[in-house]
Amino acid sequence: MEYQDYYKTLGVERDADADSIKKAYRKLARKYHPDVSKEADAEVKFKQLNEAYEVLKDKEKRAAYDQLGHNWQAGQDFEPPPGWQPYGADPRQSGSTFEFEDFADLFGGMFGGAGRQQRTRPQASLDLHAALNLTLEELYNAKPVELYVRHPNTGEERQLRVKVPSHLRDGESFRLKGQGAKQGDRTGDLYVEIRLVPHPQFEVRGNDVHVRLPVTPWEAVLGAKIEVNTLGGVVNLTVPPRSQSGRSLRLPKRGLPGPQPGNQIVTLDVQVPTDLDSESLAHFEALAKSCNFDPRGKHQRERYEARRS
Amino acid sequence: MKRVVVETLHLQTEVLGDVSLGEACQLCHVEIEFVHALIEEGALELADGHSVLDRGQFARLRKAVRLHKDLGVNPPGVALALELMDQL
Repeated sequence: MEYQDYYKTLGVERDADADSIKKAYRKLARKYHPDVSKEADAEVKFKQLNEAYEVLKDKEKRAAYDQLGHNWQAGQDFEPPPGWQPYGADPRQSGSTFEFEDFADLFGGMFGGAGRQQRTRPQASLDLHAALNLTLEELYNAKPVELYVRHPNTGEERQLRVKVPSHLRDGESFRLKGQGAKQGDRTGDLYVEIRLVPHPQFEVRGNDVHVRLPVTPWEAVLGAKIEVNTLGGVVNLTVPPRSQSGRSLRLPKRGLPGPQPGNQIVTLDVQVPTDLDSESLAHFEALAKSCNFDPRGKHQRERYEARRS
Repeated sequence: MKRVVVETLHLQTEVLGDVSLGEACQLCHVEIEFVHALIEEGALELADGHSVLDRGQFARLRKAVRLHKDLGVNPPGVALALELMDQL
């Protein structure tokens, strides 16, 4: 296994007492919990945190770890001392620790070089649970994805190809009947929870897909036809004349598919040019003289607020 | 890790529809009291007066259970966290 400086991971001194270790762990756990954190590598960090805490909170494990000395570099392979089961290594544990492992397994498949490998672990029942990272495009196009299920008893792996139903949403699950653990002639089911990977451009809210569209001041004033990316391809959007910045336009049924297909919501974002040549600048100067537009005047403010609400 | 792929299966997925409270507890490894507390807090809604959670609510319960177990947050705290996350 790889050596990790657990003290560094938790950000505590080597002689820190149990209380400060717990405190440091709690604080970082809240920060990097994958359900809460917006950080890209939250899952990795959260797993490292738990590995570190699992050892440092336990007097004996901590002593054994301290004996390893300072000779290891992070990432180096090392042989743990006998009798020391690091975090997540013993499937026979029960109680709350087990639940924790359950969680680690849920996110365990999401990092490392193994790609889409999902690891699973036996429960009291024969059902297995796994998490599946999906991009928005994969969900939208219902592309078949591969997942690997490791049989907890035999260590054998099966490769499953499944089409994720595109009306599922982040955090929702599907079941693969009979793909859980086997015991005698009993077989459990495999539950797969999907996790949508954040998209650089599209933001999913319910069934709708939100996107920000930068427009020029003249496009906003004069109106325009603009090509907009949607999950289903490029679509022509009509920006009506006199559109305020922040105005939301709807592309019906261009959101996520399902019984109630979502819309794509395009929010206009008027961008001001910053490097104008003297000719363009002269146009603006002329406009400043001739136009009596006053956004802070009573009449304009009321119109603006009415539009925003 | 040695990978022995014995077979590749093309499978039909089965979407989890309405899940009974008992089934939900079993799948999430959580006591029924925790689920009831979340319902009382208004953090979880039953489908149309029946004792079942729809797909979305079941996903919400899973998240709630993780917050509860990983961060030691009690039901009112979980309810608050979910509500704040909804607003993001």
